[in-house]
Amino acid sequence: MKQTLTIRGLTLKHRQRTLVDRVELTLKAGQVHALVGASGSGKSLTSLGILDLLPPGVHCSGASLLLDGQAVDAAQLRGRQVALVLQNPRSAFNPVRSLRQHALETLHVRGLQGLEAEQLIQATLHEVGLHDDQRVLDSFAFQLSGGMLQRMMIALALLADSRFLLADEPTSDLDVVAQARFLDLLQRLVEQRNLGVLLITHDMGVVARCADQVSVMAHGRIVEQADVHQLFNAPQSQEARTLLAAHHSLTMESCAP
Amino acid sequence: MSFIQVRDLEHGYSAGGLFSKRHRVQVLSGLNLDLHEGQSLGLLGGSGSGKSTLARLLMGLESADRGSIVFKGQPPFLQRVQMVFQDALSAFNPQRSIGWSIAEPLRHLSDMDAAACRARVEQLLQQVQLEARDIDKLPAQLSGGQLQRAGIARAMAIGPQLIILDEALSNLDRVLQVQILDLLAQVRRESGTGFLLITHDLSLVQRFCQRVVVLAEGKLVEDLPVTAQMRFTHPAARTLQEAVLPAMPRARSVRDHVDARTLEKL
Repeated sequence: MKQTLTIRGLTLKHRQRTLVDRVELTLKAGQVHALVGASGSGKSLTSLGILDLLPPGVHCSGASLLLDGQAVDAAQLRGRQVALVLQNPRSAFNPVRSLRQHALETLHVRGLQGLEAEQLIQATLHEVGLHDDQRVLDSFAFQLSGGMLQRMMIALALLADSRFLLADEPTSDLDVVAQARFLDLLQRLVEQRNLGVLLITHDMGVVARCADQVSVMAHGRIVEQADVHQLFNAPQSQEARTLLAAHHSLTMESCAP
Repeated sequence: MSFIQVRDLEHGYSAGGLFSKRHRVQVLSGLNLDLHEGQSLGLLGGSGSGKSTLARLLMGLESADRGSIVFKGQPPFLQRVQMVFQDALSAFNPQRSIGWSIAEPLRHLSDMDAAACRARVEQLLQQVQLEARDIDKLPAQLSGGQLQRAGIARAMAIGPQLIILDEALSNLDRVLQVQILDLLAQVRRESGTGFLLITHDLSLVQRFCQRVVVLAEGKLVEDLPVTAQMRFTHPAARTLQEAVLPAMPRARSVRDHVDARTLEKL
């Protein structure tokens, strides 16, 4: 059982400009690690950098990945040990393939086919709350809602039997009700399947709801790392205080007795 | 005397392709709403509840199947009602400068000359805290938050009595949302403009609005003054209220207890 995924000294550059500067992160199985920061602070690039899926022109200068202390290559991790869930689920699927084809392809990589694969797909879809499984599987990405596609992305991650999940703003495009359901699901999987999650968000409400550890990012650097309670009660960095001030100015009135 | 009266509004669409079976989707059925002058009203509803349809009807972009919308005894008109859209980037002409776009309502709805238009745009930019040099920039050169403020400036240009914000803050991060709500509150105090804030996020309504209505099943199911203690009673409205994210992390033991309960349900 894989227990920890450690990222050391992740530095990303575009020409001479440093976009992400020596980021260190550790994901633990059964925990949600939130990565927060303002727009443009380098959160998304960090998640792409971990899996070596960088956009053209951006290159990685020095980073090491350790899975349970063993050095590993990003190409071995992605789609297998580590799955990625993106903000805009519609563009993450192949538009001319049905979701069944996506699921079968994922299982094919694991060497599962035929009836066994069908049964596993059905069970996994139920697990993520897609109960109308045959309709969903026959559909194409444009025929389903954003919330359903986000669930399908998680289902694909489970089918790949990933131990770790990188979720980049997974709920920003969902309405509050779909967001609450998605976070419920995420938390259930973390507990039942012992999944380790890196949750990237700008919403401290999401952090309060489901994170265990928090890293705060500003200008490409991690400026604070703390337990969620410690961060909310005694933020150290300016960045964390700004995010919490905005969050509290929207929520404190609604929860005041 | 109410500023806008909506009576027995009904509206729907046809869904389905050209060659497949057509379905009739009834979006609004029997909706009544009275809007008071200078009030900021929150319109809350889940995805697909018909919030944007109602906004389009109020703007006069579409005409309703049945029922009436009356503005002080007259039909809707752009001089009185303006709108700010969710996706700011697609709401601006990408080939024209910000200043040109903000002046567009002035060119069509007022008889200002070019110099007066420019002076008004400069004043508006200042009001929404954009810089004077942004007037010649293209939409792609501004960030999402700046562009949304430009959208607000355009809506304010003609001095409407009501500005409709259709999920206009949903794509922004929390820090920007709070900044823009504070800006709008200032506009309301200074000019007496009324606002209709359309959103699925109750926390924004609680920060900015004086009154809230909830849209579900094609009609308004709640109509309350906004207070810290307000509680909805309709099931659809309660779902929205319960989905609001917590202000502080829960203690671990409480969280485990709640999770155990959700598990039982599943």
